[in-house]
Amino acid sequence: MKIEDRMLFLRYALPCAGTLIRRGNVTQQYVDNLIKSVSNDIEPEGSAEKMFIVANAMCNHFAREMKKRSIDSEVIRRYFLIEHSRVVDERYELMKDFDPVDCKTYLGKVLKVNNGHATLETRLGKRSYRTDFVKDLREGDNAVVHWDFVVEKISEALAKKMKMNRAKQ
Amino acid sequence: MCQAPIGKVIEIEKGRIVVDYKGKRKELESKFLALSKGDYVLFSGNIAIDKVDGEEAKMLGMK
Repeated sequence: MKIEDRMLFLRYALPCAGTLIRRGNVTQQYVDNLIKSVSNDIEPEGSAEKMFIVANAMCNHFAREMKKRSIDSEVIRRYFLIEHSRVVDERYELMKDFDPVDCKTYLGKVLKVNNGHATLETRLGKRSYRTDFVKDLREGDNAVVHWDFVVEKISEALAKKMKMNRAKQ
Repeated sequence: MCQAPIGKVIEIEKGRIVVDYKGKRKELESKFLALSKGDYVLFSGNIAIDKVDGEEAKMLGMK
């Protein structure tokens, strides 16, 4: 994975690291350090993305399906923005041992930006999210949220595509 | 997404495999993966997504 793709993958995946901490797979300190690195655009050492076994496997799957040699931003966004909700629902049907609501990514509109946080309106209503990963967020922006983080800003065109796709689900 | 079902491969045919998932047989489509009997495979719906090693299977609560 290229550096910029690793960073994008981590921005999408890190918000759900709480599950890995609860399982004892990684420590809170390790995750906090990763969040700090990614927030400051400093590439983490090692293969931090490998701890997200499922997301990594899913992205590898879509990369193969899209005939790509490795995971890139197109694959990452396809997984987390287009396929993720369906996949979460399928898994919840089978496993029923996790929270399928917070686990999903949501498209939101930025209502207010505060110091380190922003209020966004999503399908879940108005909520406050951490803005560690997105420094230039402004009122009216379209952005993706995952757990309690804003992951990235997205264009109006991608926001429309996401809405249409989710309306079908 | 940190959770996914994992099965142990018990049968392999061209383009499909059968895994043991919680003691039940589950048939999966598998176009891209090179698998052997006994491998652990992560799946979604009816599709085998990726092979996971023993340590990864343990981290995901399979072993």
